[in-house]
Amino acid sequence: MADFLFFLQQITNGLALGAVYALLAIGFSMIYGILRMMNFAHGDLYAFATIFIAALLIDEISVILAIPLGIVVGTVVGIVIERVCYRPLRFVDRTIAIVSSLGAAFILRNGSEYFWGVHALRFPLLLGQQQVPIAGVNFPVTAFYVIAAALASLALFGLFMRRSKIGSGILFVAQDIPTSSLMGIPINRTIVLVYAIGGALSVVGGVLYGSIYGVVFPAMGFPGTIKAFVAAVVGGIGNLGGALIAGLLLGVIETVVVVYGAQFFGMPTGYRDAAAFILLVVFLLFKPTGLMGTRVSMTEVGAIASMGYSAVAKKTVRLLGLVAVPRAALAPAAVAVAVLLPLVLTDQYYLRIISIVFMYSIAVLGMNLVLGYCGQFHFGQAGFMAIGAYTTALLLLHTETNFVVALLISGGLALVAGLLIGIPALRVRSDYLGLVTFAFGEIVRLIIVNSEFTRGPMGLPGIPLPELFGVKIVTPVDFYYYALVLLVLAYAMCAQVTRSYIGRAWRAIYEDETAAEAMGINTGRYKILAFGLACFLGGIAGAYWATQLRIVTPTMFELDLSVMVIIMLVLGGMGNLPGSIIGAAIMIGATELLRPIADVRSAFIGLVMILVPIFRPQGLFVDLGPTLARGWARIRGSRPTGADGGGR
Amino acid sequence: MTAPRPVIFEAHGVSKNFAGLVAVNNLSVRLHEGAVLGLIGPNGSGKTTFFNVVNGVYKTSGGRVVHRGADITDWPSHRIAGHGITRTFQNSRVLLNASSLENVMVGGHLHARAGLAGVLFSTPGARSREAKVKARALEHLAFVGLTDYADELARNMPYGAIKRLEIARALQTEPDILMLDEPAAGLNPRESENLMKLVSELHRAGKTIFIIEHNMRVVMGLCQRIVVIDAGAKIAEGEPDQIRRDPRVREAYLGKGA
Repeated sequence: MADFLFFLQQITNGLALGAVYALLAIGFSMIYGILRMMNFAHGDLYAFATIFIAALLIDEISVILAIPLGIVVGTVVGIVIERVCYRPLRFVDRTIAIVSSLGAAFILRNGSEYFWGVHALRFPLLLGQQQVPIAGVNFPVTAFYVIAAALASLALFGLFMRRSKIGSGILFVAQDIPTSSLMGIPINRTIVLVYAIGGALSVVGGVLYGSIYGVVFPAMGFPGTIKAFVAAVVGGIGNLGGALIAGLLLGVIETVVVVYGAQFFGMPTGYRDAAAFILLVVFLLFKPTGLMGTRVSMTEVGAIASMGYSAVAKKTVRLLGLVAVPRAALAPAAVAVAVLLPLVLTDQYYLRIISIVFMYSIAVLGMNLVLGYCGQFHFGQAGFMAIGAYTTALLLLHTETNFVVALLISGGLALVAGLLIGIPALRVRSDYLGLVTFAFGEIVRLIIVNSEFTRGPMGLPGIPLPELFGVKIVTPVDFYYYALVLLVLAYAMCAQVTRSYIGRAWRAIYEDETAAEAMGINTGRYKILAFGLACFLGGIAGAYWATQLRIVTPTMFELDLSVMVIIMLVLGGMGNLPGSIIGAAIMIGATELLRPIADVRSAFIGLVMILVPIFRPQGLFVDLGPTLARGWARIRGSRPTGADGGGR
Repeated sequence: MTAPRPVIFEAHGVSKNFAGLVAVNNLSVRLHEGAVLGLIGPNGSGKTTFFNVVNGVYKTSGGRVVHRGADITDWPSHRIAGHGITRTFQNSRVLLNASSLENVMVGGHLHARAGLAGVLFSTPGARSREAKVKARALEHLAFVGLTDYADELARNMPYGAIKRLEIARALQTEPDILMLDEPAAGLNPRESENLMKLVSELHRAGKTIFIIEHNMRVVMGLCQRIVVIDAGAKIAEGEPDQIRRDPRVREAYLGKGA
């Protein structure tokens, strides 16, 4: 009986947490459902406004004033996000709008850190902390208040949606924007309202969160976004009742898993988020859908596996020759400049930075295949880079493995991990890949933080220097050339693939899956191929990183890394291979240049993420390649054919 | 009529329901090799839905689809394409950000496949496949009269050209059966006439064609047989003259008492 009461107590706690998630999820789900826009600033908005309230309360401003003020702030921030990050991009690619919302998230988070510090702020327990003992188990009364408050706000919101003219306007817009517009519904005003209401509801959630836990902190933003994302997807996108139920469910699952996991399996509570994610992902993937029953044959996997050590060694010369593809003179010229650079640039600091740019470029090239060419959401490159880095670190530390072999094993393991999560996710729905990869990146990091063999937060220092045929890679110049070789190989691989029928298939999938299928393209298989190659390159990049830094730690692979890689891709231009390198160079360069203003650096980067998509949604330098190619063709006196150009 | 050619495609009692709404009701269609079969019916009668079911875009709610002896019911689209049935779309689904040549080459996917290793190492096999696909694509562009547009992005092309581009892309799959969903929709009379000339040329070249078309004059001139559906069910089938005289067809189109 006591066990059962204890269980009920956990359910109650879970429901209270779930009520907060539900309030967050409703706003996210509305925006997602109506506009197909994933608002990644949603959680940071809620964190920002809640911390604002906490700060007001600490300054002894009355609750009656502080909470409404916070809600106003949340509403206004929601409106600004819509106006600046979303509206100018409504008809541009969804991925680009995601980057700009991530930019807003950066600014909000940096803003709250700047004004109120990075640490947790005390939040008064507004709803008390009474407990009612029932048969020896204390039931938290607060939890009931929280649930009641959340349900009351949601009921009010539901009433508004059903009964008011504005509410039904929102529902119409969700169905069909052009038709609603023809029916005289003011589209822009309605959409702004969606953001405003979503913002306000999330702040209510934030206040309740603070009242349960007694603290609020800037880092609670991003997990908030992810919980909202998960609840919105599980509940059915745009289905507000579903989001409510899924939010509650999520809270309960999380609480129960954490409490019982610790009790029975000694599971560290650090797995809290991972446990919830895994359960939800499993739930999603095995939910019977009956949609596309495409299966992946193992031939692609075999083909990639066959790119083993010997094959690469034998074919290296040939592959290097392949760099001389159309746009012909450009690539060798770039490689030549890169090869000669260390003769001119002797500053080791710069060489190290450029090597890191090359490392990032490899990871971004992978993202380009899956996101830029194939249009599939992959948000977890950090997880695959972590797999690569830790594999190489462990192999070099504990075995006599040659670093080239370690490199390939690292890429291979990242690939296998990618296939394991990608195959089921892509069978269901492309958007789920975004969710699953996001969660996966975090899960990998949590496993690293909480495991013995990775030495947890301390990481693995002292990784031996790589050695090939008795030659040690030691100096920054050595590493520079090592990174350059990897980048050239990765680039050649991407160039070959994107120029081929595979690249055509990806672009067809990107633009129109139904038409691609009708042309005989096994869309499931080619999505997996793009994703698998992306993971492989992520693993390679991570492996290189580990050898250059000679240490790996979990903090290298936080969500920021995945986000960074996506930003690099978008800045350089999706579907444009040279752009991937340029994007990486810009971001790393900016990070280095902005060191003097470190406390507002991420807000600055956020601003760039918002402005670039508005002014150059195709990427900063997207026309560079073709422009130069055209120029070169003019010099040679011939006309290039469009079909040979890889860019778009 | 010449001697009957073999039946290569058969739909047996195909049905499709959407949450209780019957969009296609027990529809049976047979297609003879080298024939042009028309599918007509009022707006919303289920023509495109039937195409979608046959092509694997939707799963059937009942019935069977057989092509050249193989039961292709509920196969995924790409497998059906691989088996020799390709289509065009009513609303022209070309890749707007690719050139016409690339668009047509996408149709050559099945013939270009050289494997990842072939692509990575640019094997002679892979290169010759690619070259063949490109040469064939240029032929198809020439056939539909779009040679001048080869390097033009589809988004910059006029609508009539896009309609023809879609046909070139479908031809590039080297289909056994070509399904055309309102190829002349949205074209002006002259463009429409040119497009129909193109279709008759395909017929003369021996292609088997299954066509949805609204323009009666066009359908009557082009097809040897016509299937008429209304509310998802077949109401008539026969040669153009029979269809023209059929009172049920008049009623479906014009209402009772017409």
